[in-house]
Amino acid sequence: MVNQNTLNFIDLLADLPWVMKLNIVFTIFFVSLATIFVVSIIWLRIHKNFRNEKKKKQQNLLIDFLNSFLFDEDFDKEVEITNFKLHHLKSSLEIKVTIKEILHFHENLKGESAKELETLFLQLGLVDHVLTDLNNGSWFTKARAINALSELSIVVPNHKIEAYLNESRNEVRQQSQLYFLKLSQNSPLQFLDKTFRPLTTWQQIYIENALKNFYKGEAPDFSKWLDHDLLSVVEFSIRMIARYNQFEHIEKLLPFLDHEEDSLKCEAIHSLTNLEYQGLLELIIPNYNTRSRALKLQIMEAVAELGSYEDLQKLEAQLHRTDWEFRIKYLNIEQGFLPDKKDQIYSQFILEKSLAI
Amino acid sequence: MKKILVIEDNPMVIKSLEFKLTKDGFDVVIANDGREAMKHLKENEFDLVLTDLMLPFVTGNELISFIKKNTPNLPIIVLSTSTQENIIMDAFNMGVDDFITKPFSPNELSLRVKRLLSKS
Repeated sequence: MVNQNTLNFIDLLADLPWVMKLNIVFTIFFVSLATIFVVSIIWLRIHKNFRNEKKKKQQNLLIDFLNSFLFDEDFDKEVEITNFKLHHLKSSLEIKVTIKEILHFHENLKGESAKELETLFLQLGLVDHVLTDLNNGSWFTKARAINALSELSIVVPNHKIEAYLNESRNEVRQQSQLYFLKLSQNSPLQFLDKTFRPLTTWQQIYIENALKNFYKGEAPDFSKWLDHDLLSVVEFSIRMIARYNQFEHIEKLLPFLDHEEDSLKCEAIHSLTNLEYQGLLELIIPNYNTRSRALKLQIMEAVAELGSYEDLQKLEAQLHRTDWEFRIKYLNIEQGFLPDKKDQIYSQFILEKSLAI
Repeated sequence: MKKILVIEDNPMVIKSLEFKLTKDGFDVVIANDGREAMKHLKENEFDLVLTDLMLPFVTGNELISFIKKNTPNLPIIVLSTSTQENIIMDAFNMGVDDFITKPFSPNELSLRVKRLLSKS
């Protein structure tokens, strides 16, 4: 019966004009496509819900486990750790959630509890999983793995992390830099020797912040990196020499006042100003007119910080009368030197501007 | 049993504080935000308040003002991520009894709670 019906349907199809046949083929194709699409969405949703459910379950389990581990004196640590390892660290999701929760606890706690969490991480054997992620994962897995190691102060052989100092992804490079900064005992910037990708502005900010907040040893000698191949590293080192008041390196900064790169000249003037180097103005004022706009502004800042009214007047002769950016800067600095004549200077500025001198 | 009101919006910190303080023998009541805390404060009596400063709906400072106006003798410990001197000074000027910065040491916190409760 069924076969007869099928044959009739095939006969019917064969009799149809080609346009109708094409129409039917397209209809079947698009209906199938839509069905696959809807089924995929439903399947993904179910999968995600199921995964979230398992994640939530593992999180709740961990909150109880970690709190008991940290604060319950009757908690048999050895037995419970073995049990946990055996029954709740089987799937990759369970491992991932466990690592994340331990890090979350560690981020909020300090002192003895933080130390205990670091020990627990080792006892649960999670370091092996982190190292696997480090070797085989995608960029975000690698970044997360390095972050876990540095947050929990887990030292691994240097070469394992050095491999990521020049990764194409900025996030991985940043995490590997932070790893060395957080875990180093006495040479937190040694990684710069093996860096050949430029430091971004954010990386420089993070490095400075990590040096201040995480590194406990003696301040590094930043002059070591003044002859680095990367301009960004040299720029950072010049800035840090001033930030850390390394007055002994002033002589090493002077050649940068004539460096071919404006950014380094600018940074050198800025740092020497901050270090209050008294010989700076006589080196930078004579060449003022030949400098770029950014450098001119930096020189004016240096005069405002270190110079006298006479030094400022030496610049006036070199200023273009209608270059208002510099004129305003000049008059602002002049107001600082001559507070009694503030109103007079302002009136002069208004007059000059109105006459477009 | 001394009753402590914990006002905090980080679930992990809530669980840890609840666990640790309950283990220490206190009756712990949790409020996830400032509004819930106000409700608890109006309806119950507490021996100590442990609060964060950055809270949803009602800020920690508003909450401290409320407590100081209605129950001036109720001891307050602030548990905050802020390490800025002016924020800490403001809190003390408003009358808080202690200030603990996050990340915190649970053992230290427990000792400070006990010390403050033994005074009151």
